[in-house]
Amino acid sequence: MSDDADLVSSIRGGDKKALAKLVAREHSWLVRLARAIVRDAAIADEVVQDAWISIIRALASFEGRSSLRTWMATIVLNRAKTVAVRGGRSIAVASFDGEVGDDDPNEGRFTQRLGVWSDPPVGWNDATPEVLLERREVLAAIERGLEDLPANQRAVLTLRDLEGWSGEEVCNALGLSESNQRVLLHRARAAIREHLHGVLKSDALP
Amino acid sequence: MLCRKAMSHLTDAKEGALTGLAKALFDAHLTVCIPCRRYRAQYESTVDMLAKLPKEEAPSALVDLLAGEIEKKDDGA
Repeated sequence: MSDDADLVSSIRGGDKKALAKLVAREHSWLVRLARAIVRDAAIADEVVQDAWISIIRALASFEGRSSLRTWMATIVLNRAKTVAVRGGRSIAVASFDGEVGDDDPNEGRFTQRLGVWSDPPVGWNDATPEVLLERREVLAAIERGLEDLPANQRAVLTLRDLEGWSGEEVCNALGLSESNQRVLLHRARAAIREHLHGVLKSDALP
Repeated sequence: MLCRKAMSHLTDAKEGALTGLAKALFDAHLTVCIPCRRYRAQYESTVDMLAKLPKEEAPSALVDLLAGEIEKKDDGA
C-alpha cells in the first residue's frame, strides 16, 4: 500500500520510470479483465488504452481510500461495461455479485440418487504444466474455455489464477462477496478443466 | 460424504474455507476415492497451468502516450 502511495506520488511528480513500472505491473490484468467483459481482443485493447488515460488524468484525485488496484479496476470496468452495452452486449455485468447461476459443469457426471461418479475422470498426460503449455492445442483449449465462460466467472478466474490476486483483492475490485467469489472461481476452474480434459485425456489412454 | 459433494468442496478446501466436520469428511473421502483424487489432481494441474500463462505485454508506445498526458496536464495547470 505504501509502495502504491510512493509510486503514485512519483508519477504525479513526472517520474517516467515510475510510470513505466506501474504500466508493466498492471497492464496485463487490465487487458484480461476488459476482455472478460467486451470479449473482442482489439476492442479490449482500446478500452484499456482509454482506461489508462483516465487513470493517469485522475491520478491526482486518487486519495488511497481503496487500494490502487481496486480504484483502477473501477475505471476499466466502467469503461468496458459502457463499450459492451453500446455494442449490444447487454450482459449482466452491472453487478458481478448478482446471480451466480446454476451451471456447475460437473453436475451431470454423478448418479442422481447416490451422488457418486457415473462418468469417472480418466487420467491425463502426466507431463508438467510447463511442458503441456508448450503445446498449441493445450493453449487453444484454455483459450476456448476462457471464451466460453460467463463474464463474472472469467473476471474472477482471470484475476485469481492468471494474475495471482488474493480472494480479498478480487472481492474488493469486483464488488463480490467472499462466498460468491469462491463459487464463481470453482465453476470457472471446473469449466477450464473440462476443456483441458478434451485434449489431455486421449494422451493418457494406451 | 460422497463424490458429488466432495468435488463441490474442492475450491473451498483449497481456499481454507472448509473447516470442522465438513473438512474431516472431505479429507476422509479423498483418502479412499481414486476417481476423486484423480479429479483433484487435474483440477490442481488446471490451476497451475492458468498461473503459468504468459502475461499480456503493454504496447511499447503506451508509456510515452501516458507521459504525454501528464505533461499536457502540467502545462494546463
